[in-house]
Amino acid sequence: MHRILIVSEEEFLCDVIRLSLAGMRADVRCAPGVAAMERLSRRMLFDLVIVVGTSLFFSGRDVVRILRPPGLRKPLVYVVAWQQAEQSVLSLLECGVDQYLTFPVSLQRLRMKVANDLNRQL
Amino acid sequence: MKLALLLFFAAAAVCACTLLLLILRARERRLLAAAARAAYSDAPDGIGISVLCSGVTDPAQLENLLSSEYSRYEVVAVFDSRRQTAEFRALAARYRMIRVEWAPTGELEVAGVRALGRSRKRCFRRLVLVDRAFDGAAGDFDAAAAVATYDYLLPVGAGQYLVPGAVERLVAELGSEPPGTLDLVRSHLGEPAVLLSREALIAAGGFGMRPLREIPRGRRRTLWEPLLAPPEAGRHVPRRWLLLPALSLAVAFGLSVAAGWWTAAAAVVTAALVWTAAACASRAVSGTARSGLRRFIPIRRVFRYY
Amino acid sequence: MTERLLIAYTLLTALATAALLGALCASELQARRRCGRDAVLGSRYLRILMLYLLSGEGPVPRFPMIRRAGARRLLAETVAGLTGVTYGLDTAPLRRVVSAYGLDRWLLGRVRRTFGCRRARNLMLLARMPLDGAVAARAARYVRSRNRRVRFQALMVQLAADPSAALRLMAEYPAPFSACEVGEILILLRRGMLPIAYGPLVESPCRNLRIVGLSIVRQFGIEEAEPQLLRIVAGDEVPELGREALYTLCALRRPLTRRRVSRRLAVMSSAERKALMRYMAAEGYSPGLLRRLFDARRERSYCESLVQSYKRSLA
Repeated sequence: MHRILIVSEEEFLCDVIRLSLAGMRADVRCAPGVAAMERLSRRMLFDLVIVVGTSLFFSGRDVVRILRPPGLRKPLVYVVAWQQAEQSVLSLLECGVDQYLTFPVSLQRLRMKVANDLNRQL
Repeated sequence: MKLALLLFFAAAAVCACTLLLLILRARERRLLAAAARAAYSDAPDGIGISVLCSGVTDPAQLENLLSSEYSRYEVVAVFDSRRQTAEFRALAARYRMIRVEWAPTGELEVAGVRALGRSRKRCFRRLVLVDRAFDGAAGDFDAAAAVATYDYLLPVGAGQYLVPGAVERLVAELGSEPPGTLDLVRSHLGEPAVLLSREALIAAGGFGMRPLREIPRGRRRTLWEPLLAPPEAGRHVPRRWLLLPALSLAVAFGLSVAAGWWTAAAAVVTAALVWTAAACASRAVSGTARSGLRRFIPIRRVFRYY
Repeated sequence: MTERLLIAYTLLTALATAALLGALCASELQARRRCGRDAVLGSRYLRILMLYLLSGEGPVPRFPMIRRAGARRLLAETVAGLTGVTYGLDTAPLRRVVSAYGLDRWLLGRVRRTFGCRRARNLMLLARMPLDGAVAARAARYVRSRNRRVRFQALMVQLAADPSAALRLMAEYPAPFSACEVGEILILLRRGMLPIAYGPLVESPCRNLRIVGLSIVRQFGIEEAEPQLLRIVAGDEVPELGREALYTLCALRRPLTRRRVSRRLAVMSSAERKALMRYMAAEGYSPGLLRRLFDARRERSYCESLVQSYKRSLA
C-alpha cells in the first residue's frame, strides 16, 4: 500500500485532495502545518507528499530536504498552489519539487498523475 | 460642567460605535477579498510590494515576512553586520545570499551602506540584505527603499508579524483602484501598518521627512483591519479576570442609578459601551472577544509615523 | 434640563450596551457552532458531495441535518468552495444537488435581504453554483447596483450562467474593470468556464475587453500576440492600455528596441519610466538594451546602478 501525505493549512483543500484520491489503495495522511509534516515524515517514509501552497518554500525552509532522507529519491513532492508566476514555479522545480499544479486544479488529472507516478515507483 | 461632561460622554460613545461600524464593514470586505482570491494567482496590474525591515533580527519574524504567497513581493532587511555579526552570518548562510554591487541610485540620500546581498534564485530571490552602519530606523528604511524593486513599500520593525493574507489584502485594495491613484494605505489596528508608494516617499525625501503628511487625503486609504500583529497576539486574557471589572461596572451603574447620580451613571454606562464595542470589534477582527481591551489599539504606537 | 438629558443619555447608552452585549453573545455562540458542529458537518458534506461526483449518477444524496440553522449555507459554501478550486467537474450531479436543495433560490433570497459586501459575497457563492438562466436573470438587476463589488459579482453570475454571451456582457458592463476584477475573470477562465480567445479581446475597441485580453496574454505567456501588443503600445487613445501592453511585452520578455516602444516611453512620466526600468531589471533585461531605451543622462545612471545591483563584479 502506498503512503501519501497532504500538507495544508486549509482543512478544506486538504479534504478535497484527500477525497479525490479515495479508492487508490493508499494510506493518505494529512498534516496541518510544517511541524506536523516534520513529525510524520520522521515517523514513516512516504511515497508522495502533496504540499498545498508555496509559503512553506518561500519562508526559506528546505522542505524537500526535510522530507527526503539523504540518498533517496522518495518521496515525490507535488505542490498545488495558486501561483502562476513562471519565476516562482521554476524556483520550486529547482528546489526539488517533482510536479507543480495550479489552482483551479482538475481532480481527475491530479488523481491520474498520482496513480501513474506511484505505479512507476513500484 | 454637567453639560460638558455629557457632551464628552456622547462623543466617546459615538466614536466607539462609529469605529465598530467601520471595523464590521472592513471585516466583510476582508472576507470578500479572501473568497475572491483575485490576488492569489497572479499580480493584478503588476502591483508589487517591498517590505522594508529595520531591527528585524529574529529568524522566525523574517520567515513570517517571507512566507507570503504573493508573487511580486520581496523583503529588504537592513542589518549592521558589525553590531549583529552572528545574526547576519546566520541569515546570509541560510538564504544563500550572493553579494552584489551596491551603487546609490540618487533618489534618496543613503549613507553607511557597506554591502548588498540578494538571495539565490533557488531561494526565490525574495530576500535582499543590506549591510549598513545603524544610525536610526529612518536611515535604515531609506537604504532599504533605495534598493527595493517594487512600487509600494511597507516598513516593518522588530516584533511586527504579517497577519495571514495581509499582503493579498493590501494588493486587493490597491488593485481595486485605477493604477497609481493611491499613495498610502494604512491600518491602525494590531500593530499600525503604513504602505507607502515609492513616489510619495521620494517626493518627500525619505522616511526622516515625515512622508505621510505630504500625501493628499484623496490618495489615502485606511483599512480598519489588522495587517501586522505582535507575536503574542494569540494569547488571551483569562475570562475570569474580565469578570471582576465587568461586575464592578454593573454594581457602580446600579448604585449610581439608585442614588440618582446621573453623571456618574452616564460615565459608567459610557465606559461599558466603549468596552463592549471594543470586545465586538476584537471579535470581528480576530474571532475572539476575550482580549478586546488589551489588544484593540496599542495607542503608544499609533502615532509613531506622524 | 441637563439632568433630563443625562437620564435620557444614560438610558439610551444602557440600551445600546445591552444590544451590543446580546450581539456579542450571539456571535460567540455562532463561532462555537462554527468550530464544533459546522466543522464536522462541512467535512461530511464535502465527503458526500465528492463521493456523489465520483459515482456520477444515482439519486441525489441526503445531507444530514440540512434543515438545521446554517446547514444550507454550509452546503452552498461547500459546493462553491469545491467549484472554486477545481475545473473539469461533472456539472450534472452538482446541478442536481443545487436544484434538489434549492440552493440557488435560497442564495437569491439571501442576496435580496443583505447589502454591501455581504450581498456581494452571496452573489459570489451564487456565481460558483451551476445555474440556470432563470436564476441568472433574477440576479441581473444587481449589475446596475451602486456598490461596485455587488455590480461586479452580479456580472460574474451572468458570466457563469451564460458563458457564450461573455463578450457582450463584459462589453456592456457599465464601469471599467479594476485589476482585481480582471483577476477574478481570469480565474473563471482558468476553470474552463469562459470559452473566449485572446484575439478578439485584444483587438476590440472596448477598454474592458482589451484589458481582459492583455491579462490573458500575460498570464498564459502568448508570444504570438506581440504584433497586437505593439499596436496597442503605439496607439495613444488610452494611456493605461498602452502601459499595460508594454508591461505585458516585458513579462513575455520580448525585445523592446522598437520605434513604437520608444514613442510610448517618450510620453510616459519620469516616475513611470523608472518603474518600468525596475521591472525590466528584475525581469533580467540586458544593460545594453536598457541603455538604448532610456537615453537621458540622469535616467541612464539610475538604470546602470539598478542593473549593477543584480550583478557581482568578479574583476
